Amino acid sequence: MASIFVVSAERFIPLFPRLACQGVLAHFLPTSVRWGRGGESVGGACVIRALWMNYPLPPSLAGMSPMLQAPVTLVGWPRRQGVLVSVLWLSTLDFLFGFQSRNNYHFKKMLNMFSKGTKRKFSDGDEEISDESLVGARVASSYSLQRQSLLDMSLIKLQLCHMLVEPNLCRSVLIANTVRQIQEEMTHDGSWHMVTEAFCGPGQSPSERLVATEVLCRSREQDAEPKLFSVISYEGCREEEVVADETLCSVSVSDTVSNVCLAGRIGQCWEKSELSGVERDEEALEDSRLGSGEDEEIDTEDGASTESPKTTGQVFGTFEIKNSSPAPDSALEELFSDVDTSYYDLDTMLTGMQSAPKMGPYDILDSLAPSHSSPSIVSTPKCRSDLNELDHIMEIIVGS
Amino acid sequence: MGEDSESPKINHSFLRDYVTEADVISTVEFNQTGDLLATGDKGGRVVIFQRETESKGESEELGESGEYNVYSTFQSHEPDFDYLKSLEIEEKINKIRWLPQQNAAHFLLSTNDKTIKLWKVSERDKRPEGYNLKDEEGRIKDISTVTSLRVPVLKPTDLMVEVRPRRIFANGHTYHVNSISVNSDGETYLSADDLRINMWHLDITDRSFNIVDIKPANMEDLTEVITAAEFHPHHCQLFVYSSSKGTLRLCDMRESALCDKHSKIFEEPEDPGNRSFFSEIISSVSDVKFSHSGRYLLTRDYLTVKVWDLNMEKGPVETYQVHEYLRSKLCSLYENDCIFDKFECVWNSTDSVIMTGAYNSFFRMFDRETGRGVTLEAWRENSKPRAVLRTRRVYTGGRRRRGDVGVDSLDFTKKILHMAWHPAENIIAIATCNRVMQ
Repeated sequence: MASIFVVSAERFIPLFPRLACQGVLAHFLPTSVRWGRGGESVGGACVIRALWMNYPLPPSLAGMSPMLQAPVTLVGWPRRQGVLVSVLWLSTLDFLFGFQSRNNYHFKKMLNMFSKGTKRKFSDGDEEISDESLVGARVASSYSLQRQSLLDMSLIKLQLCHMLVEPNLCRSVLIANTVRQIQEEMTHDGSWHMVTEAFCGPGQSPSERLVATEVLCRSREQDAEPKLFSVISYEGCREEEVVADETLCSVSVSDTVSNVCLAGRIGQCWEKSELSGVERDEEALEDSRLGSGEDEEIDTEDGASTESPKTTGQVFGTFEIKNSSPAPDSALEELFSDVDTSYYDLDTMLTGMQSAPKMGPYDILDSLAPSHSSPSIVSTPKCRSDLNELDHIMEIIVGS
Repeated sequence: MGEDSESPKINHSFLRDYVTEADVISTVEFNQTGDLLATGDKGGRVVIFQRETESKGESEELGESGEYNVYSTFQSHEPDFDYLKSLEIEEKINKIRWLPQQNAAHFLLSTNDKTIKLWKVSERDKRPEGYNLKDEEGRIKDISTVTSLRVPVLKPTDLMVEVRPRRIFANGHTYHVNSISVNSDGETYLSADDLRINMWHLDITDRSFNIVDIKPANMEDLTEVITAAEFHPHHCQLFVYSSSKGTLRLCDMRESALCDKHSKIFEEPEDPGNRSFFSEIISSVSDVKFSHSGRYLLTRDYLTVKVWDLNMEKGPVETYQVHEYLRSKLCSLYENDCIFDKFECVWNSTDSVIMTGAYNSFFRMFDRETGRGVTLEAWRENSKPRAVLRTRRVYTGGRRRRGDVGVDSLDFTKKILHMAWHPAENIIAIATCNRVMQ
């Protein structure tokens, strides 16, 4: 089972006292002044440099050049809303790890970015790490792997950037164009097909949707296939024309909506969001319905596809001031009007878990389930033990 | 190349000991005479520096010996909140532009993402004394104590710099304002956001003309945004705007009220050999500047600076590689978002040298006559005024010299994005984090 190890730099050892003991591995760099912790309404920003999975501490961690490390900031604590947003990336290893929490929703997303095909220029530890990668996706062609990982990265960026308080339209447009370009190329190559494994399975429950676990579990059950984690589960040619839209539309427009996104299901994140109903929230991203055309998801798809033009537009609608707001936007607003933007501290952000009063990801997933009218479910990770263990570790990490 | 004639002067007197996020300088601009230098930071403050003129006896070389000292500091923009979208509006100053000076006071425009403000900077060094009805502290005198009348006289006092907002141009933009540019007519200016460009009259705050609108009817069709815009320095009807696709469009306002249709479009065809997934991103123009002569355009995209002739649309007349060694690192730079950094570029006073920033506190200057470029480092510590900056080199192969910096050890957090060049002399202002170095 994969454990997540996070180690902190000296500066932060006091904050995470148990981190060092756990041999956990991450290198926090402060980029802003304040840390949020336990009841104080302060926030902090850090760049988490590396997140390793189940590997011994590489000796040369300190010597990583900034460019090769996971970038990106933002344990952001917007001043007014008390909403904690954090994004952390990990690219040095075989994982792309994103944390994100907004409003009540925390989630983790993990993607397998690389396999052996594309080795990062890093320390020697990299090679053995790739070998031991839990999510061993092996792709024959390093070009297509690179392309795939770029696509995933772009999708994450697109989604996450909509979560920020100050979305940058130029950046979003550039990333969206990159995604489109890749998709076009992939459709040309014919490598644009859907991953169905993850979606099959009748008795899936939303509460088991934790991405990380999913990813971990899936790695065991399935053969290594390139499309495992970071695939946008589009299917068939008929989806192609809406692909670009789908990628864009899945991001929920309303900023009060949390983008709970399942890792390894980047495609899900780009899910054609169902505008209708309460489900529109986070679920829009959670849903695995991206695999349009799946039998079990046909009804949601139909609903979604008719709305995709609207939703796509809303991706960029975030940036607009709503003077004369179009209907969808206002509809979304009222959908989310009851979202509680309560205070979150760093711990919960990191762990993805919260103390009782607030809803944790599991609670959210659970609560979402009944509101689902359609059986749009993600595949069930079949190993709950992994899930529990992961939670346990994260708990320890943050010391909550 | 003439770096020796660069006289960088660093004034540390205003610096604080610690750097907070709010201190990061986000824009730098000289005024038309070069006596004043305005900097805006992320915290919404504007700091104006004034050049101290020293006369050197007979040889009045004012240009050589002036240092810049703090003249005035004021809070230009406050953080705001858009309640409809639950979005914060940052107070970060995106751009400052000085107006041509018409009287003793100075005017500047400063903008954050949404609101543009016109500030009047005036000095007061005299004050009236001898009021009849008020005493020295300003309290109203008892009428009965006034026995004689006198005329108040102006007495010199310590210099006070007053800054007052004169106009606030609000609610003109839905998207984030990225540029403002004062027209040569002295009465209007343009402000550009991601999808629209508005023209304002300096005296009218409740109305603006929309002159460019590239917002598609369907936002999902959006593929291009406006990244920078500027009026022509001499022709008040011409302006140029750059896009994220690497195109420049020159528009003539005489042709139509809405200048969506460009007069000229400057676009360089893509080099198929260098094509990658990042081609479009690195072709996005981050800054565009007219030359002082008005004949050329300077643009900065991620890896190059290009000089365009207004008369030739099919491609730039000159292209300079700023940091070509980053081309192989584009994927990593995409990951850490550095590929989206918006560097500025500037002309020198005679349009013979162009300058732009890079990473690792490096900045590059290119001499247009010789075609050569040099890398300089904005050195923070221990710099004496008028010290010659060290020339640096990034090692990309071949013989490695001592002092060369390897590509992998570049510090991508130390980026020089904002800079300005004195309009008449070889003085440059470079913003590195919270310091402005001259």
